[in-house]
Amino acid sequence: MPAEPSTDPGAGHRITLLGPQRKPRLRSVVRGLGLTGGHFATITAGWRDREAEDEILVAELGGRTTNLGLWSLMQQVWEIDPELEAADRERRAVLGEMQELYLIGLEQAADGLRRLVAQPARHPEVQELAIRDAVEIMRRMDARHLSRVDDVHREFYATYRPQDRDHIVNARFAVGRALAGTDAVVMPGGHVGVLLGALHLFNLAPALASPVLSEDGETLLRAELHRPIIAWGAGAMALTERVLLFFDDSALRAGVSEMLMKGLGLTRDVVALPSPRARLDLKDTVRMGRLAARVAPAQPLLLDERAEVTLDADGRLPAGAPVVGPDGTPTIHRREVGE
Amino acid sequence: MSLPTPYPMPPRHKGKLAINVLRGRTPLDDATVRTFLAGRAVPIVEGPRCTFLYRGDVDAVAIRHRIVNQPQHVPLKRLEVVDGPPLWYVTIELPAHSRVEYQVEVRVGAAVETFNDPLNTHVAHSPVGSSSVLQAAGYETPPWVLPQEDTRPGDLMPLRLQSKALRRMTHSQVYLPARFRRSSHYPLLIVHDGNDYITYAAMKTVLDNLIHSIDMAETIVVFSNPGDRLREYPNHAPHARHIAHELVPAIEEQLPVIRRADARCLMGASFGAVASLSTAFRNPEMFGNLFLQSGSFVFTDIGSDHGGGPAFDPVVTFMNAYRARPRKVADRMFITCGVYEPLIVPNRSMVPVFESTGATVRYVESRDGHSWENWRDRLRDGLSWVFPGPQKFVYE
Repeated sequence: MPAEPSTDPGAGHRITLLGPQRKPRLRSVVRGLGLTGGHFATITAGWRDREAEDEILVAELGGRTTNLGLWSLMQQVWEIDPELEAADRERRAVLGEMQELYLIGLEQAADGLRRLVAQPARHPEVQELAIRDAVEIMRRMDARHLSRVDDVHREFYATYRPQDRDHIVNARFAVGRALAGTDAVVMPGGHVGVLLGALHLFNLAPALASPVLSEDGETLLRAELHRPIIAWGAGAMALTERVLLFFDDSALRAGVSEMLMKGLGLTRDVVALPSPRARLDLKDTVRMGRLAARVAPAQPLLLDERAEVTLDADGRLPAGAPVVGPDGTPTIHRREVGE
Repeated sequence: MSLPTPYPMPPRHKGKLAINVLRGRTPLDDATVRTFLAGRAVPIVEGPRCTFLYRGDVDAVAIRHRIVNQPQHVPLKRLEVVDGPPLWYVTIELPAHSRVEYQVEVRVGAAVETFNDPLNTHVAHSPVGSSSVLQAAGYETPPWVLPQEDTRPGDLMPLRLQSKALRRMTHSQVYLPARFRRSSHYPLLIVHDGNDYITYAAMKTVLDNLIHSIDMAETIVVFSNPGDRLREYPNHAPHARHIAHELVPAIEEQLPVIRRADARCLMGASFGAVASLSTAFRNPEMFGNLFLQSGSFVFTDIGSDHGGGPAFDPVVTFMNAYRARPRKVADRMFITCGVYEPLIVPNRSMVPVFESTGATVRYVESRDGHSWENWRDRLRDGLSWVFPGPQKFVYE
C-alpha cells in the first residue's frame, strides 16, 4: 500500500519498508512517494566490502545520490585507532559468545514448547497454561538478552568513548554534513550486525530523527524523522525497535528465531521479517503463532518481494500491512479504534 | 556433540506391487512386458520395496551391492515370457532416503559378467569405475550439488609445488571464491583427493552454491592430490610435513588467508580422512578444524589382525596408538559415515574417543555407502558447520 504523495509539509516524514529488491522496483516506489528527482543519501554499510558497488541503486534513484560510505569510514577508523579496533573486536567476541549461549537456552525452551504442544492434552486449558508459560520464558530470555547486549554496548561506549575521539568526531561531522544536503535516505539490506554497528558508531539515529518525549520527559512517544526513509532487508530491520534473526532452512540446526540487539527504534511495535517466504516455514502456523506471541505487542511484518509498507507519522503500521496474526497465519494489520 | 540422525518415517505403499500385478497376467507376452518397462523408472520403488529387473535370455541374474551385514549377492527370479526373452526380478526392502550403488551380475553357462543396470539411468562415477544407483523412496539429489543459474562461480587455478618432503612435484588446484579480493582475508580448506572431490563429488559446484547462498563463508580451497596414495595417505610423515611446512606456507605467501588455526581445515574421505587426521596429529594446534568422511579408521582391540590387507597396516598402527593415548588434534571435527559401509563401526567407535579429548565433534550418518555421492551429499552439512556463512545475519 504505497502512501499518497504528501502535499502537507506538516504531515511529517515517513518510513517506507520494502521487500527484497532483487528485481528492483525502487524507481516506482520513489515515484509513488513523490520523491523523483530528489537527492538521496544511501547507506550500504550492510554490503560490507562491496559497499561502493551501488551502480544499480544509484540508477534506480535517478542518479542524484550520496553514499555515506559508513563501512569504509569504519575500516579507516579501525586502521588509525588500533586500541578502539581491539576493543571492538573483543566486544564482538563477547557478544558472539553471549548470542551463542542465549541460543542454546532458546533451543531448549523451544524444544520444551514443542513437547508441550505435542503432548496429548487431557485438559486443554491446563496445556494452554503450560504453553503460555513456555512462551513467557522465551519472552523473558529475549528481553534479558537484549538488555545484556545493551549493557555491553554501553560499557564499550563508556570505557572507550569513541564519541570523544577526534577521528570519530570528524567522521560523524562529515556524515552529518553529507546527510544534511539530501532529501531522503535509502537503506538497503545486507549484514544487519555490521549495518547496525556502523549506524551506531557514526551516531546516525539523531541524524535521522529527533525523539518526541512525553510531557514529563520520561517516555519516548515517537521519533520525528528529518527526512523520509526507504529501507528493505537488513535496512528495514535496523530501523525497528528490536532486531530478530530468523532462518528456518539453516544447514546447521533447526531454526529458532533469536533477538540480536535493539535497532534504531524509529518504528513503533514493528518487527521486520524480510523475505519471510524464503526464510521461514510460514505453513507451520503453530510455530509462527509462537513467534507472534514472543514479539507481541509488536507485530511481525512480512516483507516479501512485492511488499511496500509506509508507516504512519508515529512509525506505526498502517491498516492493511501484511503481518503474522496471533494464530500464526499471514494476515493484514487492522488498526484498533483510537490507534 | 553427535547429531541424532533424523531418520524419516518409512514411506508407505498401498496395493499390489507392480511386479506382482504383471506376474498375475498369464500367459505373459513380449508386448505386455515391453509396455510394462516403457517409461518406468527401474528399479521400481514402491514405498520401502524396491524391485530390480533384468530382461535377457541368460542362465542366472543377481544384484551385487555392498550394503554391510546384508547378502551382497541377491539372485533374481525368472519370469517366463511366451514370445520373448524372460524377465528377471527381485524385490528387496530399503529404508527411506537410502542410496545404494549396485551392479547386475549375469551368468551364461560358466561365463559371468558384471555391468551396470541397463534399465537404470542413474549412474555414479568413481576413480575405479561407475555403478548403477538405486535411489530409495524419499531420496532426492540435493539442489545445491547442481549448477544454479544465478550462482556466481568461483575460479580454479592450478598450483604446482615442488615438494622436498615428498620428493616429487605436487599438482593441486586452488579454488578462489567468486568476487575474490586480495584485500579480504579468507579461511583455508585443504582437501585430500582434490581432483576426485571435484570430479566425483561436484565440489566446485557445491562450493559455488554454498558460498552464493551464504551457507558457507567465502573460503580459499586447495584441492591437493596424492602421488602414491596408499603410501602417502595412511600416516606418512613426509605427507604431513608437506602439508604443514610446504603447502600451507606457500598458500599463505601467495594468497590472503587467515593465519590462524581456527581458520584452517583439513578434509578428506576414506584414506584421505586418515591423512587429514594424521597430519593434524603430527602438527598440533595448526589445524583447528577437520572434516572427515567415511574415515578408514580401522583399529584392533586384540592383536593386530585387522583383515583389511597390507594397505591398512600403517592405518591400524596409527589408530591403535592414537586410541591408546588419544589427544586433541583439532578443536572442531565434523565426521560423516554411511551406515551401509563396513567403516561405520570404526567411525562410530572413534566419535567418543575424539570427544574425550575435548574436541567439539559433530557426527552425521547417512543411509548410503562408501561412495563419492554419499560424501557429496554431506558437504553442505560439513562445510557450513566448519566455516559457516553469515546467513542468519544477512537479509537482502
